[in-house]
Amino acid sequence: MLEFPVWNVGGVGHGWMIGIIATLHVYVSHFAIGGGLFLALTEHYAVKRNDLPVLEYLRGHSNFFMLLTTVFGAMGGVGIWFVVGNANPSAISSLIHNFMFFWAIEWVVFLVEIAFAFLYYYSWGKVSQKFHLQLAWWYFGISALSLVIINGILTFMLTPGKWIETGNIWDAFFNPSYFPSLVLRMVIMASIAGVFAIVTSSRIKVDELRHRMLHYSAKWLIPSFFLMPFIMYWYFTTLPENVASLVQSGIDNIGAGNLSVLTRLLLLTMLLSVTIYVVSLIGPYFNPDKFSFGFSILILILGLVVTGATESMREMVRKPYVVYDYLYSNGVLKSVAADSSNYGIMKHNKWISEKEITSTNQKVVGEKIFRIQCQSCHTATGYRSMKDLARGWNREFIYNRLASLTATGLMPPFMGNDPERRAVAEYIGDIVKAPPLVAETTK
Amino acid sequence: MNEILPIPSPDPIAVPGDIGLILFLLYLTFFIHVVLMNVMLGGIFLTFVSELVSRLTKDGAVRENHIHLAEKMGHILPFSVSLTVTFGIAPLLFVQSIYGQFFYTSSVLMATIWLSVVLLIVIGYYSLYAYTRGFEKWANRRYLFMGLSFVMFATIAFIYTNNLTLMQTPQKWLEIYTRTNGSGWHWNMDEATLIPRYLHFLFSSFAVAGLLVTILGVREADVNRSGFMKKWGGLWFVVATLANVAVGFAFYFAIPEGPRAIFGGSEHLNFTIAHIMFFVGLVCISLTAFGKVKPAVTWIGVVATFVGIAEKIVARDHLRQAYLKEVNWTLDGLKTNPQTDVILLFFAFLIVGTGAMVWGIVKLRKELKAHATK
Repeated sequence: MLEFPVWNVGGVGHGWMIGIIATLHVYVSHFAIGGGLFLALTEHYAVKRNDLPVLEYLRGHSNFFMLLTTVFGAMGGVGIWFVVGNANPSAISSLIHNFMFFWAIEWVVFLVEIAFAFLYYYSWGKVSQKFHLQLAWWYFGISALSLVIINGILTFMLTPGKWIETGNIWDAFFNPSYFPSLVLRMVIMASIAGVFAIVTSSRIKVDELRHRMLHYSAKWLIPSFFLMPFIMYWYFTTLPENVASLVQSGIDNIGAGNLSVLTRLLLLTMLLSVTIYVVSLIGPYFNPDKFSFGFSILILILGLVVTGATESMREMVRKPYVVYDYLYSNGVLKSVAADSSNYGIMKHNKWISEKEITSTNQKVVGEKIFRIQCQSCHTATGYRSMKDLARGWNREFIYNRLASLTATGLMPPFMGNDPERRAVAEYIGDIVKAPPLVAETTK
Repeated sequence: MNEILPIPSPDPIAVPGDIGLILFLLYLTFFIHVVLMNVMLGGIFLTFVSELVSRLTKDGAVRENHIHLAEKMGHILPFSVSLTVTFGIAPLLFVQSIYGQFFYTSSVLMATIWLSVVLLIVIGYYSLYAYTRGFEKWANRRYLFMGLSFVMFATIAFIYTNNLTLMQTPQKWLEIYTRTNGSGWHWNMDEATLIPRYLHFLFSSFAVAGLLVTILGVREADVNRSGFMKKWGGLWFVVATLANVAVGFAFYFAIPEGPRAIFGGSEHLNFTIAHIMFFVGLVCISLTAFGKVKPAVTWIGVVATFVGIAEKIVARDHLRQAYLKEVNWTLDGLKTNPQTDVILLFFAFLIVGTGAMVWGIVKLRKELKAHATK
């Protein structure tokens, strides 16, 4: 239980640390696949029509593509691995022990993908058009295969499905949301490819070509515009009942004017997605002659924000788990937390040097227990802070509230015993400047 | 399990493969990673030195030779980074499945520094591209990109040495965690083996990069350039390998007596073979650089060096196990539950994936030849 030391990142919180890196990586890695399709398909048409200016554009675009995806994109993946390992080692350990050989397969696919990215880029103008096009399709096929593999691990975290009972790796991999998520990501990839192509197209100096490529690139956003609602519906039907009702309440809250974090993220995602579609239609699709590089960067940034919002939602609906129904966000197994005889953090945790709680060390120990129990999602005064969340609460209320964390549906149970709960209540009470209790707090 | 030390319990999910198989994959992929990393790190340093020499020398021929070598290396190095990183992923995966309790803990204890590795790689990698792409355009300043890249990758190597030494000394963990308050800002500087171990890797990278330059020299058509590269590369190989003998002794004696005992026992033969191989490598590469020998001699030297590196990689892991034995942890305590079907699928992907890459490269070479003759 709570086996690992906890990385103390202050007010930033683990959520932001993971969120920033994950958002950047997801955006670029989706481009790495969708962009592969864009290169292959566009080159196919350009070769067919012997359209040399478009081929020249593709050469430049693939340079940008290669530099961004093979360096920043690839390192972002390593970054997620590192930051999750730092913030939640139990979670990454669970995933690696379960999926190690799938991850090894993903590694092989990634290696081949990188090799073909280089073969494709560096052979521009040096090999036959037929072979170069073959390389483009190979690259796209292999990069899409990398999604086919990693999608099983990503979706497992929210919908482990039958694996919880069977422990079978194939149940874990082909879990309930595997297929809708795969299709969803494929469609999103095409859109992201379109967004990046709009950026590079807007830099083309020749007017006629720039207009043509902007118009063409904007078309890549159309499939997602029409298909997303249906795929999203399919996706939601595969989610666990609790998650589905959480999302439903998020949607209902929009009408009720109750703006929970989930509701705000939903609104943000929908509004910005529509904005991207509208700007792309009005700008590069219908009026490419009036569309500037600055606007393309705006679309790019909006796309990044939408990616961030959807990643946050994915993380939020999973709460209180990191692997649904198996491992809580704070690294405690559901099965361990279900047995109250396991309670007592200091008894089990090896990282608290104090052996017992006394009146002098109560708040110090309270802070240490808070870090172990709560800091995977909360901070004292920064991200999802106690300062805001417990504002106006008195110490007794905090103490009682700690005993009923699961009632929120978003938090794991407090694993401490009574004196430990009191110590954390005192620590949080100090953060919110609650007046001290008159008696019985430091027994 | 040791009850006093804060060593986390093994993951409740069993290791999904036979430990022997995972160790084999760990050694194999780590060997490739180390060779590539040596080419990259040492190559960056040697190129930086060539840049400096070409600026300082008054001898036109020497300048020309160094600029030619720097340009050649500039084309190789970005690929070497990509391959090094990619081949670093696999051993990191395998090591986590076996030594996760130790690796994650040490990573968290120095989490802030550990995470910075990602940013440092991105900076170092883009610096190399800036060097190669701006070779003509930024001729006067391009050495700065190579220098920056070296600082980034040398720092990364140092961070890795910190983490991998910290993971095998749980005795220090609680004090570090208490002192740093979990900030993840810890350098393992009080570790006696840290500096010699780091220098051992650093000098190895200079030696292997020297080996690469020698090989490039053997394959170079121009007689003058070939002679220069063979001598220059050979010199780096010989000097760095000899320096590593001194550093190796310092490393050896910095290891606590308990774990060190394996080199007089179970690792004795392995260790001896490794050093014989390095000696053979040293002789062959010296002959290549400073004498007139057939290319076969060079290749014998290369193979012997690689066998020596492979032996050292196995010894390195056995040393780690010896360290962990000091805290009553052995491989025997790990539960396994092999996912045979997924393992077979992995090997199928490995074979098909390798085949696809070979096909792509062979076809590309044919196409390049055909296109060039048009």
